Amino acid sequence: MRSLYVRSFGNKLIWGLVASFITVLCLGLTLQTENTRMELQTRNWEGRSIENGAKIFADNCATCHGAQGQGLTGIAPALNSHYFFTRRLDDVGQAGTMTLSTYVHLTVMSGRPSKSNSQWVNRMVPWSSTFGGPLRNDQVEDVVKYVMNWRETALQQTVEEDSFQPYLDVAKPPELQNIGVPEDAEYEPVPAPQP
Amino acid sequence: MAVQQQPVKKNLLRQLLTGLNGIFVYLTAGISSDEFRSMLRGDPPGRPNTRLRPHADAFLLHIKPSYYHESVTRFTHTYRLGLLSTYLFLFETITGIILMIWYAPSPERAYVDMIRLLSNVPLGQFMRDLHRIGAELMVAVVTLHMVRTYLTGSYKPPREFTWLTGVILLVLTLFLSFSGYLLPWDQLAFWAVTIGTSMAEAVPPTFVGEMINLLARGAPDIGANGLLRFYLLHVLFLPLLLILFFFVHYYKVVLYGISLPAQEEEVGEDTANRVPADRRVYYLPEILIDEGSFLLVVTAIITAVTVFLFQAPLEHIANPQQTPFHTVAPWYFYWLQGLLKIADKMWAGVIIPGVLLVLLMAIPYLDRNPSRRGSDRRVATISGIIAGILMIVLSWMGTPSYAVQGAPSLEVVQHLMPEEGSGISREIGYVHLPNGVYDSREEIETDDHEFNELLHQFQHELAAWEAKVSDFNEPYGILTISQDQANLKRLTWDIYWFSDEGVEEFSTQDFWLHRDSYYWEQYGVKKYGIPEFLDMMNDSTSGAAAAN
Repeated sequence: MRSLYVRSFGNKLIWGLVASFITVLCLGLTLQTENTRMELQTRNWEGRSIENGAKIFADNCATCHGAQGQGLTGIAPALNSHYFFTRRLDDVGQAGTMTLSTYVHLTVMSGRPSKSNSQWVNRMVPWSSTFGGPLRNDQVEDVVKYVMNWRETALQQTVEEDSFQPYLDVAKPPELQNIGVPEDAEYEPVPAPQP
Repeated sequence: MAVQQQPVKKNLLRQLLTGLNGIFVYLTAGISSDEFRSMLRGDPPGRPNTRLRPHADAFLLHIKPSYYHESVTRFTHTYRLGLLSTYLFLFETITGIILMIWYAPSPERAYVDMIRLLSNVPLGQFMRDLHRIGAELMVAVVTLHMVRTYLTGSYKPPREFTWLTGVILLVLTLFLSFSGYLLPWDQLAFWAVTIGTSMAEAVPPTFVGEMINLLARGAPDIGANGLLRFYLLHVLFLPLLLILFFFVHYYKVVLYGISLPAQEEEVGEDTANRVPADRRVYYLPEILIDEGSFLLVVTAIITAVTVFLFQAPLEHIANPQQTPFHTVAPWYFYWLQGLLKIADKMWAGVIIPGVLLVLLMAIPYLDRNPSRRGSDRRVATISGIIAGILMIVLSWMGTPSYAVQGAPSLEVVQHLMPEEGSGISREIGYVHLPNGVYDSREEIETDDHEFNELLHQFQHELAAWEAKVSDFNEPYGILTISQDQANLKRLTWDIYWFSDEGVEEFSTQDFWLHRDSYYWEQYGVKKYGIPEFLDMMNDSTSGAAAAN
């Protein structure tokens, strides 16, 4: 032990200098990789949020919306659907006022209270604890991220593959709802008109 | 004329040097530049010792003794553990204040703030890791400091009260560390603190216990109020209390001096004020350099370990509705958890720890042995060692490996893909989990070596639990890996087995794994092995090169 920490004044100075050098070196290394680490961590927590959402969806949403988000006839609409990701916002008259993610978020939070002109047997209840539902708001955010993660596969669906069912709450006749989908069907959010 | 110019020039230089020296003396609180050079050369102090002036002039130095007895400056006498504890407190204060910038103590924000700290704040994860490792180290160092003091019998007169304040500081350190546990608001935090506060409930009589519990939690269950209370304890109340007791403790250390080795000092002797002139080691410059270099070495070690090895865990967000499979206390409370497994809450949570604490504080007043020499203190040394072994055994009993065990079918999956942390499934990662159905009864060899290892461990775990538990016969498992979404795999673990009565039973567990999820165990030195990380590093450096 004594050889580890020698009594000599000069040696202690050297120990101190070497130690400071190592500290600075470690700090430099950390700083150098910091941007990459932050990027990876951002993706990591996004990914884990989707994982959490998957569990919440399987436990709470899959009974009505289907395990693969394909929807159940007469019960609940498809979410893993080309129509849903491209035309739905337009058809409910919300394109330009919000993103699809916000639309899903609001729907999960507060449910779909209206039953007029709807073919679904049950109303979707509010899921957020803010409105008396069973999910905390962080859980709602996770499940929204999970639903939005269907985008990639949904956009690759053809009209035949899409498990979409015509909506009765949409002003268009059912035969016009799921046709003429533009190839580049991505809606940029347009700021809402200022009051 | 030329003759007259010379002295004027000399005067100017001298005036300049005198002025500079004045500034130097001012900055060093009384050390002249000549004296400083002689210090660096290693010259002995003059008589009278002009190097003592800073101890009179500078506030921070007046707290330190101006000289020590040569025998106590030996490294192996104190291991500098008291100094290290003090340093770590300062270290925790600084890193803690930095972390406070990014943190709000409310259940809606705390966990989100942690994620933001980890993913959006430069050096955020580094600071959190430093704060965490510093806290664990501080508990360890303070405990070791106490053990050292006990073994050298340094608590004997006149230092009884110093010991007592030291025990209070140990308790404060434990509480400080534990109160910080809740702040990330993850599952680990929430359940450890729920159990911790529920022990307070066992304080008799019932209404007192319930009152203490209610005061600590701020409600029947930990929520917004509880988090705020623990936060205030952690950042304000406990540190202030610790600072108060630190100064009492340190004042007594200076007043009575550090105890000499037992051979050189009789119990009750006042050594601090009677150090022979030839055995004095002055604080300036020798001890200062000694302490400074020691702390620099410790800082370098902490930094290196944090950068390369240590990552503070962050589990899922606190969920009061879901008790984790294994709830664990922090390691320094394993012994308490061990006690709780063999005794009821009132004995293990209140009476035994309380009696132990009083006993610990009272050691100097109980131990009437007038000698500090090891050969005269056999009883004290042996009982100390027995207490230490007992603590280690109890701590081992406190870990989940002792006496706590869930259903084997859950334990198997918990081992391979735990609720929290990585486990081998997440460690090998998304790319090493090929879609398919894998039956543990078949020898499946895929092209993927790492996935084979996972299947192998699956079989091994099933066999191990079959041997261990009688209610778990002829088990087999089916692992189904399917593509749930783009970049998201679903792992379904189905386990079948026969119970004692020969009834076939079944359990299923689902987990999801995203391509981008790297669990915290994988950072640190391991991140240099992640292909994505290396790619991105190359991208960013080549991008920087292109920008240049």
